[in-house]
Amino acid sequence: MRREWILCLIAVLVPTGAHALTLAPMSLAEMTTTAETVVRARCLDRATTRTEDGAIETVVRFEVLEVAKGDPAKVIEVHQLGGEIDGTAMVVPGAPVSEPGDEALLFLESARGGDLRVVGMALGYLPVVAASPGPAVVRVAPYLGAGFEGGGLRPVGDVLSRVRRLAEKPR
Amino acid sequence: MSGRAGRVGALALCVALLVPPPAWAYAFLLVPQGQGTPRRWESSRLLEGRFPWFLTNAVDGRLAGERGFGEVVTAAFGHWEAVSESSAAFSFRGEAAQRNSNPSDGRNVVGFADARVLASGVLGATFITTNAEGRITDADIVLSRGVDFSTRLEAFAGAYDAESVLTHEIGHLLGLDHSGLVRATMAPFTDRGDVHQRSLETDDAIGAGILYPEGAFPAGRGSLVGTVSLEGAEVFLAHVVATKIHGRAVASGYTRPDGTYRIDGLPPDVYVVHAERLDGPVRPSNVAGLREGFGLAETTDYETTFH
Repeated sequence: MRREWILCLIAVLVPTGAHALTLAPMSLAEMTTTAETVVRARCLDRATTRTEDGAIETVVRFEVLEVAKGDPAKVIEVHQLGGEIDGTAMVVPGAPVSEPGDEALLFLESARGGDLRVVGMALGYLPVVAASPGPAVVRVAPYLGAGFEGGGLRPVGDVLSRVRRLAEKPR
Repeated sequence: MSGRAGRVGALALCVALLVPPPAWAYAFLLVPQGQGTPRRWESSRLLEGRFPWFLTNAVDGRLAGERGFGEVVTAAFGHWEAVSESSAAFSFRGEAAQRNSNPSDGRNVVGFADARVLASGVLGATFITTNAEGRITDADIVLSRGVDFSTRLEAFAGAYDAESVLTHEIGHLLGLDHSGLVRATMAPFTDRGDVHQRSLETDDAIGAGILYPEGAFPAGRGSLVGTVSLEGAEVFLAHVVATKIHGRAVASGYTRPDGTYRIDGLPPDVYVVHAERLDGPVRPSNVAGLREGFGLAETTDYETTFH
């Protein structure tokens, strides 16, 4: 299906009178190797809590819909940096923020205490887009490689299949 | 690929407003559900108008190079202080314990954090605390202990440039979110040996100037205002880029849920404006705060084609 451009315009400006996070891009192979678990999952709910060092984080419960790597439970808890407690909020720019109903491909690793975290924060968090008609898709970044160099929207099944193949490869 | 068929309805307006509403370009950290209200610092947390910062008393990261960590941090703050559009200034207050036992203690510490706290692939992060009004009251910057950083003056291909990462993180401390312009310091990615994020681009400088203007800024500058729509429907989180006619991207922003965008602080010139989907390297996940700021999911089922 053909997609289109949005806009292009030339404008002459007239002066007016008034008026966290740095990432190292990871390939799909690197993310798959780093992740203990790769799943397609849906956010059920979330709760905020304070860590031992006083930081605020959000514990998000996901229902696992498909598994590409690992052997997770049907419902998993993923710890995301940031959240709000009693009017005090902690923000970590670039950290994913999930809301109930959100669906995503998650590349997960164990953090301190065995808590699950998303690999590379936003890197390992690929929101599923409900396209209609047609299969659900995710937006892939060119740096993923593995056939996704062109970026754009790709079927969820394609990405999960590649993750499974990468996970099966001997290191 | 599937999705809505047909041509995209394109609509853009460029107007100079006499009474400009709040700006929302460059990407600011937004107050949740604040409909585009940027997070700014609580003025009572500044010292004589300066952002106070402390250096960790335990420099235990993997650093290599002729400069000390404190020297590199000072240089990174200096890049933002040198922005002519912005009044942002900083004050070194001494050493402090590693990243605070209490992140809300009002001590803005630059230090290190365990890689297992930050996650793999994360080089640095900024933990920002805000009060009930959404004002920033505390910000701690950390580099990952699991990563090799260079403190060399010259680019070094074998490690990540500490000064570049810190300059990016200080932009977050000020209240900036990630830019969609890959050359901007506030773009969320870097690579080994890459030092380009040490120097701020116009997109970064204008963003800092809008938050903390120097003098009458942005008086004498211009604004680009318009709407991005797709088959008559508003597009949220399209990346709108203002490029000088000879090819240099000056600044960019993201559309609001109603498809409107506004880029302020542009030097008078002739610009080409285009809008594109956030399809990498910067993706909507990199600017999650914008979604939180408006409480909506971005428009996704379209692709950009330039004609």
